[in-house]
Amino acid sequence: MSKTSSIQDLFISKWQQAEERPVPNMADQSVEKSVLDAFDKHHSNVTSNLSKSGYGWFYAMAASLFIAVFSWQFFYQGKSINGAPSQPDTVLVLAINESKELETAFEQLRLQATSEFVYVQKFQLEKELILINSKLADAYRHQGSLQDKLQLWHQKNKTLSQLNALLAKTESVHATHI
Amino acid sequence: MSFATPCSKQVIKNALAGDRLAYGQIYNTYKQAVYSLAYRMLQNPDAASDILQQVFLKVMTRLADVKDYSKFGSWLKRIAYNCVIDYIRANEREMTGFDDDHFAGGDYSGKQDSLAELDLDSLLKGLSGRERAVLILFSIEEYTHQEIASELGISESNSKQIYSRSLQKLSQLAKLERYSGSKVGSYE
Repeated sequence: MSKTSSIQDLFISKWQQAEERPVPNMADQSVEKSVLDAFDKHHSNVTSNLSKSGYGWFYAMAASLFIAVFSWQFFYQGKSINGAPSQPDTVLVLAINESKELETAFEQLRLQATSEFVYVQKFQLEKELILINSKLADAYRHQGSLQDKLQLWHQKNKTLSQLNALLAKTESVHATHI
Repeated sequence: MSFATPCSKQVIKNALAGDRLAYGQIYNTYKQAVYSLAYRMLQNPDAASDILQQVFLKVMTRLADVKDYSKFGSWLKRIAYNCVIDYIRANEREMTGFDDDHFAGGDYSGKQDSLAELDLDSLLKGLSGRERAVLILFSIEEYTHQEIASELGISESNSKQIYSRSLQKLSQLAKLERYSGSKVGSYE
């Protein structure tokens, strides 16, 4: 017992002596910016229905539509000689179609009032979605591999599903703690 | 800057009213404390940055709940711990630390004074996320095993077991360091 408590005492003294770790510069800048942007967005939401977040989402949706149009265009260009889509192409089409359905569902849910707990999670997932959209746009612009595009569509669908699930059960979501 | 650093009532009130500069001031006062805590608990710089962001997003939506302005730092620390615990619960499988093979065949009679030669992060790196959480919450934050069990979603006896295992691991890590002459991190 005395041995374990001496290890614990040593650990505690190490904890107290250890210096705080500075936030890496890159992470610090990006976190500060995103936190303060979210802060502005949060406060403008209170004062205006036509918030910056609405515009932000509008641009994200426009980008998403743009990607969908381009992806279909590339898909038809990539058809095999006999006119039938090959296996990976079929999977891609399914992923794009699924994405459209998920986006439609999200569009219906996203404006509903959310608790503060849900708001934070929603903010993070939306941020992730915007990032995936931008990667998708890059993949189509630079004619990335089918595999990469497929992976990104799957990521996008997963994020949209998480968002929909989060918003669909928003009334039953309670933070267990602050 | 630590969690003990005071934050003026006026700054908090200004932030509540939507003053971006005031919120930036709060962020800059506590960012290092939050990041350090998350880093110690998770031993992963990317995860620590995610927690930093998550904490300040949560604080932003909960500022109105602050009743005692003199305890703002403690309140914020509690949010930081909760974010880290949520992260550990969600990513348990990825945060395994060193497995028991690293310690196989060893006895626990090594002198603990070798522990003093190791830095805190080298020690914490050898533990799993859950072990770190239990060890820190019990030893540093003085949570009871019952409270820890409730936070981590485990049983009280499991919390006690994990705590005891983490102390054994610390002892073994110190011993391995002493006899191998290498840094603990090299066992990864």
